[in-house]
Amino acid sequence: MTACIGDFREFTHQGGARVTLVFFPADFQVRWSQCSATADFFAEYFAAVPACKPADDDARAEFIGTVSYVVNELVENAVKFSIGERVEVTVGLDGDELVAAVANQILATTVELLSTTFDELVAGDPQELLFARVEMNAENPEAGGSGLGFLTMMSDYGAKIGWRFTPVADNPNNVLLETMARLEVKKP
Amino acid sequence: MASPLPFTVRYHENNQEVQLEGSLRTADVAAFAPVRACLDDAAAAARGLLFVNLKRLRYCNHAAFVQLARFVADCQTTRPELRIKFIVSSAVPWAPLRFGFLTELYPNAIVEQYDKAFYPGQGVIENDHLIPVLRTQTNIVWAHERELLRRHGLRPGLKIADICCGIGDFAVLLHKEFAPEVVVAVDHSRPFLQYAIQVAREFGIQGVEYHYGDAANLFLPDGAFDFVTSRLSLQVFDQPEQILRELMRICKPGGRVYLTNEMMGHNYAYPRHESVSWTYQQTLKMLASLGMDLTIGPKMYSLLTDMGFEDIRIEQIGITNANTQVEDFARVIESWEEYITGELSSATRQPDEIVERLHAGFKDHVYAIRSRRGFAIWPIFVASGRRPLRAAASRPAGQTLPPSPAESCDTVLDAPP
Amino acid sequence: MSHDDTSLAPDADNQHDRPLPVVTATLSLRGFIDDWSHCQHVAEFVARFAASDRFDPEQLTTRLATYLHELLELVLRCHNAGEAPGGELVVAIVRRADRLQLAVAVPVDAASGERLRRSVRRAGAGDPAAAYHADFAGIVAGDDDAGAGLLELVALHGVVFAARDDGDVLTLTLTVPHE
Repeated sequence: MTACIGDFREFTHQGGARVTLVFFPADFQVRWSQCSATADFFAEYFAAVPACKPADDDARAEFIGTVSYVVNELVENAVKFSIGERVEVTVGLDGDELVAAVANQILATTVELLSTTFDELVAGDPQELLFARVEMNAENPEAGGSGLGFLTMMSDYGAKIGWRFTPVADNPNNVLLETMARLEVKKP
Repeated sequence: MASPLPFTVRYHENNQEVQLEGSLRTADVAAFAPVRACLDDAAAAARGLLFVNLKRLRYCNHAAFVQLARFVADCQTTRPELRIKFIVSSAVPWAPLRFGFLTELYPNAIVEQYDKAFYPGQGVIENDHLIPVLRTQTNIVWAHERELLRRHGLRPGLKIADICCGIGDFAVLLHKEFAPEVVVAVDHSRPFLQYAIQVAREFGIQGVEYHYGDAANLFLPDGAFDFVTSRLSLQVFDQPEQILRELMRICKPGGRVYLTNEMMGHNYAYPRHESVSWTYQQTLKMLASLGMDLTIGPKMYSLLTDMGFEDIRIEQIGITNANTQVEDFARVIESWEEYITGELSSATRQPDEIVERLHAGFKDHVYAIRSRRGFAIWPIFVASGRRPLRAAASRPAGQTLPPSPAESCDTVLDAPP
Repeated sequence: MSHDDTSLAPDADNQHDRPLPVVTATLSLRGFIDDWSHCQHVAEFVARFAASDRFDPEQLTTRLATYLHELLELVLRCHNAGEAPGGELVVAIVRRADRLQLAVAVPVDAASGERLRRSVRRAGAGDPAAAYHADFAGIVAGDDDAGAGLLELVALHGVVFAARDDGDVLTLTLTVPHE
């Protein structure tokens, strides 16, 4: 059964600029440096799209910094935790928003824990949650940075995040996880 | 607001050289116009030979290439006495092909692949006869160097560049010992790189990238590396400051550049020290005739200072028969003997009696190493410096980084926004 | 996904020369042709990705990006901004034992199809080196240069070119040796 958490919506696909990359980690390893290179690619590509084109150098730096950070977080997570044959990364314009989405398969047994984590991330104020998580990590470094990337996206970059879990038809052990971040595009 | 354009074009009047750098992928004639304007100005001012330096032009689309050809064709008509020399590098694979083609059609065009012989000693250095020499050297030096590297700032998790990496064994050792984030190893010798790649495959090494490239014109980004090494290499170039400038460029501000070089005149062995001393003095002369300076070791302090580095540290590794496996040390000297009496003597056309005397000197050196009452020392100088956080951080007011020849330009035309 | 250590010699795993997918990029065509710099961004990213597991990634990146840029540039030049058909441009890199295949599938309409087919015919000339040599002076003088970049890749750079015409989609493929 498909389940959505947070701000997950299908692309309305109004014909705006859109790019999808598909990686095949089973056949061609995605190296660490390629995650940031992927993020930079999307940022530079969309900085040149007329509907997004920043007005000046400062705006351009901000746009590229924001898109790079958000896409890098999504891609790194997807590549790290993917168990299937492909990882898809899509960035596109959807009305007034720039949408970045990744899709990768995960083990069905991890869905419950992930769902709980994601529910917590969208339950309260992202900035307060971020501070609380940072403090918790400082007290217990072994705990890991669970959710910090998402909270930073929401708190510092204003991203709206959503997730969707969809069973994989021919493999009951796997689930397709789609993660989406929406950013408001400032009019040029 | 347009995104910044990815190429620069400059004319250096003193050298009669137009320098094109970056990516030149023009959509149309209008986009090429700043380049054409610079070329036209240069052609009007130059006499005899106009150089067009493309060593740092990584990309050029066909449309821009056609515009360059149009310039050459027009010069044939307007300046028939002017010859245009395109300087290309084999590190940019499309360049020799395209400009070689151009010279077939336009008699006023010449192409020079500058890295075919871009330093005088290249022929004797970049061949596979040197591989055994390099292998044995690394084996005995590493034992001393691994601790010393820590004193010069190396620690785990860094991005490291090893320039003039030779057969790549140092890069592999670094990778194993210091767990860097990445090692990028660059050399201009295809036999060395092939060997390096083979070794890395056999050892299952990941995390080391091997690049074929030119140490004086690296296709590596500014400030990309925390730690930049170049070992026993500046000594083989006739313009070591050019290499050092590049090492500084790719080093992150606050990062360190680490060098090792020899002082061959201080190679010493007792007994039979006179024979041994003569051997190394003779070798130094032979190397000097090819533009190499194996006395550069102690001079590194000056080189680093002049280039603007801070926190310069310099010390010496003394490889002796007391602190090193005797047979390993002897093998190094024997490999030197083979190389110096063979390849190097042949390249410098030494008469037979000199070669015989060299053989005798190396054998005397090995004798001293193996003798229970003998002593031998091979000094290697080690130096490092920190790239300043700001350009003129540690120099007197008004003093800036020493300019490269390319920077002493009279006209700079950056593509307008 | 984990490779064993022989991934450093990826070709050792592909002794039967089966095509292994490396990366695919699907781009809305109208969005792609909106800006000249998109050719460069796509060419360099895809090339760098495909070269990332080589021991000398920089040389291969330079070659692949050079070739792919000419293909993408051709696509852009054959479509006028604002008039392009809808649909998606698909760039796919596939690895075989000793070579890479770069395929660009382009949606076309009557006008863009005609321009693209003309360029493809030029690159598919019987003797590309002779054709390029013969045409070059004219191209420099301002003659029709449609497809000249593609012809140059075949004539000078030793790239193998193939085209498949499915009516409303043209697929252009370049085959490039690894080294």
